[in-house]
Amino acid sequence: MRSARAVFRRDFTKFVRSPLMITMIFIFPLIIMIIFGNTMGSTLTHLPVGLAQEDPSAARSTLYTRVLSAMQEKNLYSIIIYTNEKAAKAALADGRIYAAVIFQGSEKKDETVRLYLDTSQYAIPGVLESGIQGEIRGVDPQAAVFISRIYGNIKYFQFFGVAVIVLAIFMSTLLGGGTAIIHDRETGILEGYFVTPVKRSRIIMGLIASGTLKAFLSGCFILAMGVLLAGVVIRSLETLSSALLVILLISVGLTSFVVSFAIRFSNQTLYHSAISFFNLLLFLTSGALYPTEGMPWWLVWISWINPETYSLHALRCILLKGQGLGYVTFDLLVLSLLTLAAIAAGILAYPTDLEFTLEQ
Amino acid sequence: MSTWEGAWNDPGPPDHSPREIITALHLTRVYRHPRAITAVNDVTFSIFEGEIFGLLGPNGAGKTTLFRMLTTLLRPSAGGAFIDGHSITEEPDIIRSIIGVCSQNTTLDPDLTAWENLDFYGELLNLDPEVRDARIRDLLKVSGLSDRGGLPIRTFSRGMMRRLEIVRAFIHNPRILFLDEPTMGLDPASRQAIWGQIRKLNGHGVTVVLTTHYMDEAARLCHRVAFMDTGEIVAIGAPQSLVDQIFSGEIIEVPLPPASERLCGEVLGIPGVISVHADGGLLQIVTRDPDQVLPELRRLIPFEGAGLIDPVARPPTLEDVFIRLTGEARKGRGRME
Repeated sequence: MRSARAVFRRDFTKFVRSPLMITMIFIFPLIIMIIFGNTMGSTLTHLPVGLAQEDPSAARSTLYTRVLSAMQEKNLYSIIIYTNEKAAKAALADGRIYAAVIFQGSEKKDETVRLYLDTSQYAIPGVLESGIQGEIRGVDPQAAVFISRIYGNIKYFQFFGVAVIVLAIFMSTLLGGGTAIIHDRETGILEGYFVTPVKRSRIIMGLIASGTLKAFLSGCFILAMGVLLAGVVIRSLETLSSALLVILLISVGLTSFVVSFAIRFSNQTLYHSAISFFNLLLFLTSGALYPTEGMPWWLVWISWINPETYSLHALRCILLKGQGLGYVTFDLLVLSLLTLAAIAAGILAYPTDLEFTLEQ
Repeated sequence: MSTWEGAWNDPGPPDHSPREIITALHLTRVYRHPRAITAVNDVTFSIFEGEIFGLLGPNGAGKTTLFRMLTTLLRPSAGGAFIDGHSITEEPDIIRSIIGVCSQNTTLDPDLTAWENLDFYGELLNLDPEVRDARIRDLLKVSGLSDRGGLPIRTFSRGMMRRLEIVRAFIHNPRILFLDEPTMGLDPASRQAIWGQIRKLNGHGVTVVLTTHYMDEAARLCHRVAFMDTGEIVAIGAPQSLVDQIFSGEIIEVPLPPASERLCGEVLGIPGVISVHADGGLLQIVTRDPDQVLPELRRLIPFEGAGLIDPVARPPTLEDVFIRLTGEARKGRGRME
């Protein structure tokens, strides 16, 4: 038994001496618990909904006025009034609102209301459909509601399948780009770089290029699987080329992110624990599983600086809504800026000699 | 602690021009973590172009730290050094392009083949593909690994890896080659092969700086050596001249009986004995006239009666210098009569 005790003592002593390991074991799961609890299945509030009237010149109908005041009383909606139907539909297509409610605008019995729903989101269209129908029926049980799901019936598998493309890219950079850097350090190849006059920006560029290619291939594979298994529909060649371009950009972005992050890690175990934590954190706060609308402010804040949020939004617009690159310019811009910042951080963090090994 | 007297006046390697290619001036390095340690303390010395220079000393003497500062891998805390006129702190990139370095640990990628490893470094060092191919073929030949170029490094023995590592450091025809313990842990044949390789490169005018724990290696290979201990250079010069300076005669070693204070004095009294040194259960007697000393010694200590081997005189080696120099420093400078 003494030998078992010796093995136990050796292992436990090493654990006690590694504050980072202790943090990972105790603090990370706690954070994950809090984040999971706050992202999944939280109550959705302040969903942007647009209201408009077919005939902009006519006075608002009684139904319109009463439905509006009923909706304003609830915090489920964040109401935006549009002066005409066209503006409301444009906002819906842009993703600024999740539903557009169009009233006929004439005082008559059995008024018909048209409800346009953005079905590219998970949970939101369902909540809005039943919610808005309830408000209308509450005012006029006889009113006819025509529901139009503008992107058809999107299944959760499709919604999630697109998110898995981002996950696949992250996973392959985690294993490809990041692990490669630490492997270089463990095998001494890093020291081999230092005795040559090669610039660290060149090393970073090389690592990111190779990591990106691996990530891109992995992303493309999951896209193909998404089409075959999850029912993701590619409507045109333009959609396909836009999707591939966005996947490439996401690959560069996430690889740069992971490479910069990995540089300062001295061993694989620690790196893998930390990066798995970040993988989960970024994935959950990106809206991959559940819309960010239900999250508390501090998680929403993380989602804003999370490159996966923009990656996912761009991919869903292209693949689920069939929109062109013009609709995701903002996402691509933010993603590019985050990528450049990550590359710069990576170059600055990359050591030029062995001094950094003494700091740890 | 002062440098061994007279060692500074060493003229340098006889057959080479005495141009200084490496100059260290008050080079100092202090490590802060986990506690402050002065690994290299105010070291000033020069290495001449075309020589094979050995850095010797016990573990923890500061050899590797000095080596890493000269190869721009670590920055000095104070002082500086110039490699071919370039400052190690100001112009590391220029220095990196004119030196070749073979570290103590392997820097080869075990997943790549020998050829791919050399090709990788060749490309890092900006060699053109045509030049690279010819060069790799040459280097594999020099290292005796021509038939293994296509095999992954992980299948290599340590000796083969070391040989490849040395030629790898030489791929861009550097003017100075730094080798940190090039033959550590290798069998005699592999060591011989590496010595041959180093001599061959040196024959082409390459300055070689190496660290080693093997005194026979230093004695055979190096034109000059420097002994380091506790971060300082305690002696510098040609191996034989250091031996001659420290041991002005032959050595007779006698197992030291317990409670032998008196014996030391008696041995020192023997005519012809230059010095007596007790260390590690051994009495080391230096004399120029062993024929006179040995009979007297036998009279003093009845070797055969005590079941001891009859002592003989032998010429001193660099290993004796090592033990004497670094052992003394460790004990706070001891008895040197």
